[in-house]
Amino acid sequence: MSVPSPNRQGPSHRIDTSICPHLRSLIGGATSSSANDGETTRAGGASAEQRCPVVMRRFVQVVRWGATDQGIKRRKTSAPACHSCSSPLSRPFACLTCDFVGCISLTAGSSSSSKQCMNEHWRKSEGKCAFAVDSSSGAIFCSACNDLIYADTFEDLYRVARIRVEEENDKSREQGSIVRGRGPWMPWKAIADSASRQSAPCNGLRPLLNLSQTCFLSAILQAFIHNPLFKAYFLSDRHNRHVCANGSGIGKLITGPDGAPSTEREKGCMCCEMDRAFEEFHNHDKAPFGPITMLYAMWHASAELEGYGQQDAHSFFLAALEQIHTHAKGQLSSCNCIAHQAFLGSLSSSVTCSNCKTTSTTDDPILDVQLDFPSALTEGHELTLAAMLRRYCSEEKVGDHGRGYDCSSCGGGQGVVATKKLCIKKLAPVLSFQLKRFAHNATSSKIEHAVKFPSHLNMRPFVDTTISSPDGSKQVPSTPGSIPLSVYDYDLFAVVTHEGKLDNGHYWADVWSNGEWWHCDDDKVTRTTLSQVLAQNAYMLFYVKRSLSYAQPHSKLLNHANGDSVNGHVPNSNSSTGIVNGGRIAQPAGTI
Amino acid sequence: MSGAKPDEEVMDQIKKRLLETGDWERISRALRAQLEEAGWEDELKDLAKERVRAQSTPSLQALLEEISAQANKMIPPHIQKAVQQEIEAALEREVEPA
Repeated sequence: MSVPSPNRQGPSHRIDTSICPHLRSLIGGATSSSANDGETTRAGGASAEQRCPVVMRRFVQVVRWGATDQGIKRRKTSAPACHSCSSPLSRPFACLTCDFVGCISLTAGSSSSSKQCMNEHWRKSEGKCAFAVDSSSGAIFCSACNDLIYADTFEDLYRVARIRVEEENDKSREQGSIVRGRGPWMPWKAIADSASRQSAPCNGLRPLLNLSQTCFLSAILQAFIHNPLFKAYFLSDRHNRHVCANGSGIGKLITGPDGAPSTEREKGCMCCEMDRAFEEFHNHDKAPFGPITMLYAMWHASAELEGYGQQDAHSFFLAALEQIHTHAKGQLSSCNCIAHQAFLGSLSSSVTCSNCKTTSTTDDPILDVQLDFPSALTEGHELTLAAMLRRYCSEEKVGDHGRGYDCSSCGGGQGVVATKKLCIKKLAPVLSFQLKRFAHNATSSKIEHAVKFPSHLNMRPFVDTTISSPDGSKQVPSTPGSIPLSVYDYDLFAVVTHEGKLDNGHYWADVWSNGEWWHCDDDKVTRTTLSQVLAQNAYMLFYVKRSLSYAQPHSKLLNHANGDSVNGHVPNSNSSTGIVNGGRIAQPAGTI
Repeated sequence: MSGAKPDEEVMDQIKKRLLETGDWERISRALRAQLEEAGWEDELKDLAKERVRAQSTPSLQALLEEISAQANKMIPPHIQKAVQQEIEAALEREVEPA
């Protein structure tokens, strides 16, 4: 098996292919510029921001103007008009090198009817101006290339600028302390010689061995590996299985406090198993990985999941989170384990009595959202995730029979009903949806009805914004617009699908990695497309919040660090093309 | 004025008015949300990506020309109708008949 040879020259010799030569010469820099062009490099080289502040300032000014989702308000008379023909601009492009704003044609030269005021401006500027920024996306149109350029330098700046706007406008955050500004990545430990840092190409993709009907584990594990919060946690060495007290030997006899061996055996540690899995997924080995020790750890910890045979992927998902939480030794109320950090949200249930009108509200912690299918489903009826969520949050009558609703305030009684309403109180950074296809009713059949789900989801309509902030921590007045819309943006990163019958079927996962979608079917990992992923009859969906906010100041976050990194290695993601496949392994006898 | 092609100046004035009142952005946003839920955005995203992947030399111009017409055709008729009604309502409010 050939191993891709690492880039031995190191990061400083990497050529930045995201920028065109025209843009590069505008902002200055060598022909083979450092990939970290936007940052102050350790060697003291000037960043693009230092070399060309005027251009960068202009860029930031334009993208800030376009940040309406992040909270930028429009004044009534501020409709921008073309400097040339005075036409109103609904999606302004701004010249990067002067203050001209105007109508632009992206297909200049063809017989398009759109105006070309910006293109004219470039022609008349005698070479001074040749670029325009799109205020909504931050893309830069290069007139020489006749193409939109998404240079890393500018993309990073765009992200930072937009997040800054969001932070400034998010009234739910602690004001006065923009607690932690975004900045370029800096290592905790000084790295003596950056050129000696070897970057090994890896992409977190690896086929998994099916150890006898363990496709449920394969699918969920793939979803965990591509979970950005889990990835950041475990690749930052936050749980090192070599130093963890419980991680060593599953099955080994535990030594009692007095040194004498007891009859209890080591149950293993799910966090250690995750640490092991992350390492296996990011090393050079592309042969299928068999998560044997993870399977054992699960059996020892969860009696109901023990034994060979197919399990429900959703049950395994919840059990795995439970084990991660337990093994991290957290307390439920103030737990900081990665399972809770990523998945813990809360659901608010409010019940209003029709008689005395009092509303009682209870908040329950949830790790995922479990959505029921409507009972009367006709074939051909298009069901969307948003519709199922609306149904989940819609009003329901309680106590509509016999003795009526028993109200704690007024006693209720016959004829009294209550309306119950659910909404999400705290949104977890990672949202997991289970589409309840396996109804545990008399017929015990699987609901095969397709559900249309999006690659991007805004959760604002399903959150209770009237009382507290999205992270549930503060009480804020319910003024509309006090929390920017972009705070509720989520992106799809994993889909788990089940095919077949209730207790005899197959699971697989589709995951998003480095700009591409990958189909992970046990030991077969192949590239797929967005439309193929969205066409699946999904069982579980995983979405991650687009921008995260830190609750604690930077200094406190560093104190939580689990010691120093094991080594100076910084895994570098390089997407590989084509098929990642170690080949099919002969299945042990007795399996499907 | 026979309405074969709308007078550009009038269109500009209407657009300016709708931008100022915030109607433009409101209707725009509602349209996007509906298109997203209907899967139009994802379909278009995938179409564009795979088209570019198939191009021997990626060209923005060629891509825009190829998919612009298709993008319009892909809009579900019920959404088109709903947005048209919104626009008409806004025009009723803001624009005086000539």
